[in-house]
Amino acid sequence: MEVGEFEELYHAHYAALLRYGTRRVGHDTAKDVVAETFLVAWRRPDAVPLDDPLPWLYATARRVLANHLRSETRRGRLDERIGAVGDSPVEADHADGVAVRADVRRALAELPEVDQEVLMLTEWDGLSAQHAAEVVGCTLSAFKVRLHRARRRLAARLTATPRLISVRGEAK
Amino acid sequence: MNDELEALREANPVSADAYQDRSRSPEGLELLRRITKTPQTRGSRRGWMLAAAGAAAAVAVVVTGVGLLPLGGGGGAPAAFAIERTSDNTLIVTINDFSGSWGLNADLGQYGVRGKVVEMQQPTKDCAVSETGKATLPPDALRPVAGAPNRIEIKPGAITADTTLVFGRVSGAGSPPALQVFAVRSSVNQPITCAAAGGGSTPALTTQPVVNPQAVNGNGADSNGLTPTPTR
Repeated sequence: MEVGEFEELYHAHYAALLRYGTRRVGHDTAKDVVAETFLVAWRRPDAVPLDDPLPWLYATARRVLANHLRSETRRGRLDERIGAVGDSPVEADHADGVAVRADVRRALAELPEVDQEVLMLTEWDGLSAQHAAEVVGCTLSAFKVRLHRARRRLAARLTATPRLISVRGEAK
Repeated sequence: MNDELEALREANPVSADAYQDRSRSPEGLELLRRITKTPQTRGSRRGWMLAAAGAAAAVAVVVTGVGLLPLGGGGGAPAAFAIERTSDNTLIVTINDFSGSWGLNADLGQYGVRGKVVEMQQPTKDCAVSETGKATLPPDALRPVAGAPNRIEIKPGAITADTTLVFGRVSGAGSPPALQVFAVRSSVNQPITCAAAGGGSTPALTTQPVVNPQAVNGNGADSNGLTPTPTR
């Protein structure tokens, strides 16, 4: 990969990867994740599919993130995610929505990690099912099954949260 | 179930258009510059390198007598860094440009150096390692290379996981840099102190250009109390 090609790749996808990381581990750590992801891309140019690099970049960022999180306790990760949400420099929560969002995020964080990942990739990161399947390394049909089950479990958890139902009711 | 998905989307902590143009900020451009100064690994060359390493492990005679075996650092213009391996498996690290030395950790890790490598900002002639901070290494673990101040020999098995190799310039900003390498214990807080400009001493300042993409905490220059500079 020539420098010009890499620069194009970098500028085209830097923001998306920073959003991906910030959603999961907060802004400061996300910057390190982005740096390491692009470093891997630069150092392994033959591995990057230049025609459609986004899934590869997300998958690499996911591995970098997994390495980062491996040393933390599950509780710590949950706290960090919840905490990271509040620390995000681009978030603008207002009034009642804050409580709803916190409950939704907590419900999400309490799901199995595989459920969290498929939901975040599709609903937060905006990836297509095909791209998201490539990121997590499964077939499209398998991903759709995972996504369906994850949605069902999220719905069940939210329904079982009285405060959320109440607040959502008021908001409508 | 659609209500829940809608609620989930609304709970997205980062909007879909956040950080646009951040890659062109000074910080983003500095990161880009650092990355592109790092040696690339070519596919065919990589395959050959790994094959050579594997063959060396299986049949020692393959590399015996070959002399210096280039293992990393790229070709063409002088690479920011290079790692060579001698027939007795000693690694010779050459640093031509500190700012392009990202990836040195990763490459050293592949050849048995388990410590971390970080770069020091102050001239090392003004600095000293505390008694508690000194890593205990065999006498031949680190050796300067005669006539090549920017090179150092490392005996791979001698550098343990609890060791951080702190690379610095002896003085000034000459090119190539005259290296001095401290081996410190990763678990000791502030193992190196340097003379401060106004008298007294201050902890060593390190930066984090040498990131190991495979490491659990690849940016961990601060985990041993060395003080990272805010370069990114």
